[in-house]
Formats: sequence, C-alpha cells, structure tokens
Amino acid sequence: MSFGLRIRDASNVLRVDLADKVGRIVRREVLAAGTTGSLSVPGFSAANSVLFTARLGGVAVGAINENIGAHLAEWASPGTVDYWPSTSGAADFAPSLLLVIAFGDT
Amino acid sequence: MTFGFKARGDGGVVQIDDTWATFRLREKGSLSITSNLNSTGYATLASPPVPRVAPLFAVYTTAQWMVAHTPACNVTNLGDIDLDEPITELRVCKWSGSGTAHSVNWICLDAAPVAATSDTHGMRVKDAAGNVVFDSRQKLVLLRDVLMVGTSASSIRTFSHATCRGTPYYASGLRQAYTGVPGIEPVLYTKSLSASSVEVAMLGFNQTAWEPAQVPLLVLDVFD
Repeated sequence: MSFGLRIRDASNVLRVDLADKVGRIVRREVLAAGTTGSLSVPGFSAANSVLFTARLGGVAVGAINENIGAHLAEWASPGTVDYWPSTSGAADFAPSLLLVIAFGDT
Repeated sequence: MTFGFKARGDGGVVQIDDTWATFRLREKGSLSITSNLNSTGYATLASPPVPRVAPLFAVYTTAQWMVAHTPACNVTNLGDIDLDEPITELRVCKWSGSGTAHSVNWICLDAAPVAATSDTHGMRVKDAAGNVVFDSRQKLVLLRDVLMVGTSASSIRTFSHATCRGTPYYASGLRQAYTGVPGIEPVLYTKSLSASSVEVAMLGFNQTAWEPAQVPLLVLDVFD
C-alpha cells in the first residue's frame, strides 16, 4: 500500500506524487560576520535534513577566490548545529545565510 | 496541538505539514558568462522583492560546469547585511571555457509567499497564524535528491530518487576554505546531463585538506 499526496493541476499535470520529497525550511538564520556559535533545531539531524550556507555579499564581490571568510556549519549532534567562520587566511569576514532544510523526517 | 495537517509519503517521510514553509520559485532569469573562474558573470535582479525570508539560488546549465555562489546585497559594510534589504545581484562562476559565452539559467527560491497562478485545482495549507505554507498553484520546488560530493576531480552522479518531472536546478552549500590556500569558496560546480543525472566538478579537489570533507548538492525539481 502506498501513502502520500498526489496533487494535479487543472491540466492534469502531476505536481506532487506519492514519493516526492518537499523541502521544508525548519530554521533560517543570518549569521553575523566572523561569529562562532550553535543553534538548536530540535527534531532534526543529518539523518533527515540538510544544511545550506551561503555567503551574503561582500565588499567588491567579484572573483570567486576573493579572500573573505564566511561560515561553515555542521551537525554537532542531533538537534544542534555548530557554525564557525572560515578563517584560513581570510582578510575579512562576511555574514552568511544558514538554512536547515528538512526532507526526510517522519 | 490537536489539529492540523501533515502528509506523509512512501516510507513515512513528511512531505507537507502546517508548520514549516516549503520552497517556492520566486524569480528566474538567465545570463551569459564569458570569463571563467576568477572572473564572474552576474545577474542584477530587476525588481528584488523585500523582505526575503530564505533566499536560495540555484542554476541550470548544460554548457559548462557552473555554480551560483554569492547573492550580493547593496551594502558596503560586511558587518551590516540584512535580508530585509533587497538582494540586488547574483554571482555565477563557470569552471572553464573562458573566452566563449555560455548561458546559464538561474532561479531564486524563497519560503515567502508568492503569487499563485489562476489554476482552479490544487491544494493550499496554512499554518496556525494563517500564513500559506504550501500552495500547489505556486511554482513548486521538489527536493529530488541530496548528493554528498567530496574530493574528486569530476564525476557523473545519478539521482537516487526518481527522475525530475520539471527542470533540474542545482544548489550547493559553500565549502569556504581548505588548508594551505586561503579563502577559496565555493567550489562545487555542476553541469546538467539529463533529468536524472548531473556532472559535478570540485575546484581544488587535489588539495590536501578540505573543510568540511563533503558538501551537499541539492537537486531541485522545479516547475518553472
């Protein structure tokens, strides 16, 4: 027996099927430039969600190898995300957007 | 809470609930990039909506390995960036092929409500505050796969979870630094091959130490 939603539009095009995964944003933070810290995301972990970080702009943003550190993030334990600035030779730091996207929780 | 909505798909995985917003397609466009790597092609967003909740950029190209890497705000102070300001630019880099123009399609996803189509069929879910967290009449974004990519020069990856019904777009979290060469970021390039496979390339794959060891690649199935 199968479970799930099957949603079609007026043209009968299948938009959501039984086994489709629909990413849900369960945490969103703007991390201040150069900061280190932890976030509590109860109920979620590496087993059912994915972390996404993106540097938000920068002075004279251009070259991909410009020397501005943003943030790295990883699951420290289920329910807790650690983040820290990339510091390897960075001349300056930028803020980052951190998203926790759930797709496999039950 | 005793009332609400939660849909589980095959395997018992939650698809949609009445708490967390799903991604929707907010903007899309295309641009042409001539120079590679250290030079960038970039899009200037025509009418950036404010505020943005969780903007995520992704790209689709069959021409060259490319990556969307930096949404740029209109600021001059790195310590003062706020998503309530418009994100005015998007930077995209390509791996190789400098001197020749290659096209790339980009999209901006967000959890913020966007205008629904006039379609008369579908489903809409609101949270307890009355905010629309899912609307099938908006342009949906399904998460087709999450591929973990580590240190390899290039490889072809096939999705583990079915074929895209829409257009496959790719977004990767940043890998900001590795030992010995400062400030390199992000370096997971993608080139779409089909509705079920992608070729990935990792800039600096031959360096001695990455931080972290693998980067997630989001495979987004977009009805654009």
